[in-house]
Amino acid sequence: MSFSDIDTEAIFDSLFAEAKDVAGDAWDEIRSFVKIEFKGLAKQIKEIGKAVARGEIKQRTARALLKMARNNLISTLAATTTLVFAAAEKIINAALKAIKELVNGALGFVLI
Amino acid sequence: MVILPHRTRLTLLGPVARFRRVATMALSMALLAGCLTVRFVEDYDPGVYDGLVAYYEGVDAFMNRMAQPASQDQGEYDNPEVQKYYAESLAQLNTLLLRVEVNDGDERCLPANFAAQGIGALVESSLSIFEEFDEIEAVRAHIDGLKDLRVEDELAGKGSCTTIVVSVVRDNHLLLQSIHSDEGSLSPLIVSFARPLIAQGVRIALTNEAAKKRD
Repeated sequence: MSFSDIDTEAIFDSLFAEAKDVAGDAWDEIRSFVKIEFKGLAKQIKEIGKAVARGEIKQRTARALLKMARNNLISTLAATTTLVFAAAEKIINAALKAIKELVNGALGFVLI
Repeated sequence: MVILPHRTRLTLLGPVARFRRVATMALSMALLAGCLTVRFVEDYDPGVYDGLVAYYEGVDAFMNRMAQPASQDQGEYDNPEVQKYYAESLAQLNTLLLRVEVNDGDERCLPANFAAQGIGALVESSLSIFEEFDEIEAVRAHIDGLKDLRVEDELAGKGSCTTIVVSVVRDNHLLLQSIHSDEGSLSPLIVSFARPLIAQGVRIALTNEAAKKRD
C-alpha cells in the first residue's frame, strides 16, 4: 500500500475498530462497578433501617452509618469519573496508535 | 455537484496539488499521532494504593478485635490502646490525603459537563436499585437524600476525583471514631454495619487508583 492509497474511510474503519474494542470492555467494567457498589449500598441501608426500626441501634449511630453510605455514593461517582476518563484516554490513544501504524505502514518508514 | 470518493478526488489532482494534499495529510496525522498522546487522568501512584491497603488491614483487624466479646473492656473508647489506634490511623490517612493533594495540582473532578451528564444519567438509572426499600420509614428520608444527589454539586470544586475518594475514606474513619465515642464501645452488631461500609470506601478508592494504571 502506498501513501496515496490511504483514504479517510480506511482511517475511520481502523479508528472505529480500535475504539469499539476498548470502549466495549471499558463500558462493561464501568457499568458493573456502579451496579455492584450501588447494590452493596442498598443492602447496607436496608439493614441499618431494619435495625433502627427494631430499636437495636440508636438514631445517632444510624445517622453516622447512613452518612458513611452517602459518602460511599459520592465516592462511587468520583471513581466512575476516573474510570470514564481513563477509558476515554485508552480509546483515543488506541485510535492514535492505529493512525500511526497505518501511516508508517503506508510510507514504508517510521514518520510518526 | 458530484462528490467523489476521497481517493478518486486525489488522483484527479495535478502532481503539485497532490503532493501538497498528501503532505498536509501526513503532517496532520503526525501531529495527531506522534505528538499528542492524550492524558485525561493523573498517574497511578503505588504509594496511594499501598497506603490504602495498609490502612484497610489495620482498620479491619481493629474492628475484628472490637467485635470479640472477650475484648469488650479493652475495646472501651477511653482505653489507651484504642486512643493510640485512632491517633495513628488518622495520621496515616492524613499523610495519604496530603500526598494525593500534592499530586492533584489544580485538578477538579468532572471538568467537562458532558462527562457529568453521562455519569449523572448512569447514576440516575442505577438509583432504581434503592426504590424497593422505600417502604422502610426509618430510611426513607435518607433514600430521598441520595436520590437528590446532583453529580456536579457533589464533585465540583472539591479537588481531583482521587482527592475525593481518599477524603471519603478519612471521613468514614472519623465517623467510625465518633460512633465509638458515642457508644463507648463497638458492639458486634455495630461492627457488622460499619465494617462493610468502611471496606466499601477503601475498595472504591482502590478501584479509582487502579484505573489510572497505564500499560
